[in-house]
Amino acid sequence: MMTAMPAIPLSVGANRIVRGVRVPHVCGDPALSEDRDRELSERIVRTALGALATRVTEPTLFEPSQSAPQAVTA
Amino acid sequence: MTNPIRVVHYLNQFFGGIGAEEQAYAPVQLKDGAVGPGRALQAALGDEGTVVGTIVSGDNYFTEETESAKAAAGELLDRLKPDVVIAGPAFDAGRYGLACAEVCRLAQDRGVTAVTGMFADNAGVLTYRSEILAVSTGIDASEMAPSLQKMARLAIKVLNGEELGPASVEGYVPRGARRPVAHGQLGYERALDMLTARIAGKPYESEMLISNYDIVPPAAPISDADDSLIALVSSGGLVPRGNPDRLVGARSEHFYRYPLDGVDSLSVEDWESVHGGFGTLILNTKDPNYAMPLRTVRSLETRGAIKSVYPTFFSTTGNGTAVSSARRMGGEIAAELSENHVDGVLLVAT
Amino acid sequence: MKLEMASFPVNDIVLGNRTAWSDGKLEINADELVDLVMQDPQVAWADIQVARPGDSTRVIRMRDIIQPKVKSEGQGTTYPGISGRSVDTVGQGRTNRLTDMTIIPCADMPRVNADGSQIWGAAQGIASREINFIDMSGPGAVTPFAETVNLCVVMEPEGQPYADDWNRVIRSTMLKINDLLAGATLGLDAPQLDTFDLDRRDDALPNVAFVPVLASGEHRFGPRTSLSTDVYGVGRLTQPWLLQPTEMLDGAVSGAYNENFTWPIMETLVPYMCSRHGIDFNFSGCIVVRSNWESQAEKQLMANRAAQLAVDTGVTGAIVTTNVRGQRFLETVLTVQALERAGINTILMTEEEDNENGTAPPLLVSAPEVTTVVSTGTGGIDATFPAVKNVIGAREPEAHWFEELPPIHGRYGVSHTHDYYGFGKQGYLDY
Repeated sequence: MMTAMPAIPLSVGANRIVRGVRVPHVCGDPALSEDRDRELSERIVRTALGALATRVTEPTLFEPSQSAPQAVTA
Repeated sequence: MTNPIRVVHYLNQFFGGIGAEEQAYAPVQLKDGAVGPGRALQAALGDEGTVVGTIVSGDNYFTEETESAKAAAGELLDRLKPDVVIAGPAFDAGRYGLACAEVCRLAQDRGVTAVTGMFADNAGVLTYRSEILAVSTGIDASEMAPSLQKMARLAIKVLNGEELGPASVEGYVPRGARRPVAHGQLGYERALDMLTARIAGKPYESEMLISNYDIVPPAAPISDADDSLIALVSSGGLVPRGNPDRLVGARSEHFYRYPLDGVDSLSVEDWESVHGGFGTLILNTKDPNYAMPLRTVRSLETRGAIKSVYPTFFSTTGNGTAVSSARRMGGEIAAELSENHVDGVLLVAT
Repeated sequence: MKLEMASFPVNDIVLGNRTAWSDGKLEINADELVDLVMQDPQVAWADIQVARPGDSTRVIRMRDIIQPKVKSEGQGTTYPGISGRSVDTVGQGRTNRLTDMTIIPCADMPRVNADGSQIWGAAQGIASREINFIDMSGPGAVTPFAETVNLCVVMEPEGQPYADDWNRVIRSTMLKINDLLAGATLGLDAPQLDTFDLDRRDDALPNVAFVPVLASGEHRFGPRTSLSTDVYGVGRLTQPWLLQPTEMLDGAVSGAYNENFTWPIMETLVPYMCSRHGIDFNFSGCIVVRSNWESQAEKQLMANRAAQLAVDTGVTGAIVTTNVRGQRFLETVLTVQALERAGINTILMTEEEDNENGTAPPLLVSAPEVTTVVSTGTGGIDATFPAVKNVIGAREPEAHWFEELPPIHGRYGVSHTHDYYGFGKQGYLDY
């Protein structure tokens, strides 16, 4: 689940949640240059793929970051 | 005077007088007439009913050997032919509450009116909320007599075919349904009364039990992302320009499938969002990939981060979707993905 | 602040040669009003019609609803900041108002704006206007507007304007009529004069605040749009505003957000709380929280600041309301949570989601701190709306508006009552 509003899927009970940017552009940021935007999109998608490969026991929020994706339990 | 109704009481090993925790595995057994707190139940019933027998079982026995326990208890019910079954009250004892709930369900399966009693957060309620009728109790067994009184009264009401009022009025644990009511006061009057009562430490009654969504057990992690087949789903209302399938902007009951073979990215020329719940200008004039990152996923696919992308994209609008519709759509998509050995799904929600 | 409210009740509106109020009757010159509206070259056609309680009348295409009021003493103008009106702080001095009546501009709404953004409901499949109307009699006559005499200003635009532009015309028209009608009471003795002296506090009483969470149109239409509920004319996403309750009585918070109109925001809970000031509590203030932020961090920040304002104001209790459901409800939940965590007793008053036969929870999203809730129902109406003789709101209302209309099943995006401030007795309870 990739969303700009993690609180909602956390409340609903989705188990793997990745924080996106903003509602109208969840997987990137048009305010960035094209290169930076593509980098950001890749970071978000890689975090999502990482989340799929991570064992979780309850709704868990993953934050895209500069380093490897880290799981943060809500 | 009509004949007194036949009542069967269910108690755990402790209240049934068999023993304490050491008897938690006691099997289902029958005792004659009213036992222990059953006497308070009989007093509450007065001439209207007779406790003809008490079914007793150990909490652990019932919750661990549930099938045997249910079979034995069911047989006893068939033999005793009660008009009403009263189970507990279990207060906040979770195993006892679950057992009471199971006994009530057995009775109800046989067309017998059943009432239990327990604390609102008891596991029996959390598991069987909509299936049982439970008087709302505190956590203290010192409330035993008044609780049994409420349970008896409620049981007779139901037996007589009387319609039950709201949970807060009748004193039972909410069963999950919410219905319209006409209050005596305006909403803002009720709100201020509730506020001043709360501040003053006086009793008040919230008009809503906040219930949670179902718990969904997490799927096992993908063992090897490089080797994975990933499917893409979005609730951002993405459709081919012109919206050929007429996906709606809100309250959708359908999702649509769009082929991704040979498609490396979503273009503004070929795609648009019909989502009615936010400003879709950026998606429609700059880049639809923000709501379904196909370009990025394809790029990762080329570089071997995943094995491949499932050739069908699933699209719907997530805007005021009915929970039941969402459940159904999710189930349908999951079924197809499961059949096709998809390893993981990226679901973008706007 | 201390505000004197001079009330002039309107039992009926009669057509005549002039604009005058006398003894419960408001006389208006319909032609004069139409001329006033037509002074704006962007209006191609206008008509004045009156919908009275009990009439076999249905009002459609409402764009906003206000109670007519003007300042008679003290600085500023009522409904400040919109349509070029002064932004001077209001809520003091004296205000004259015509009670038991409203002004309702009625018009169709264009679908698009100059930048290409589309208005609510323009996306295919949503027919929100089909469930938004006011029945003046019958089982569906359950809103407060079924009990007020409503002066409807029906308008058509010149050409094909953009939505925002036409909305500005509608607003300024509504306010011109407001100033003219309420202005007719200036200099007259008011049958009723209430004084709201919120400066006087009783230390023995608790301090409470009203915390309305109000959707901003910025996320959809930009920061300068008129398609938003405004605070002193500012509709954009801002941090919370701390207002005096009397400022709200003077219309400091006004402007329609889709089908969420001005009247309920300021004419329901706020005057009631003012009337209990010094009796049950001290009404310390109103904290306006804007919603429709696009990231959770922003939503959380606004909730935190609202709670901080409440703490700084010294309140021990708060009533939080919301408007418009959906993801913006998250601001509301986070606000309740932040207030409770700050130790403030918090009541949430809201409409609720469709129960779907016991399978769906009543709130889209919630938190453990949301413990005390007043529910005004799902917004649905169980009864059939009967056929009516008159339809007000369009030059040639479509035939179906005159016919029987089916009951409305309340759910997200489908609320007929829009009762976010508790003006009705309808509710929902757990069974």
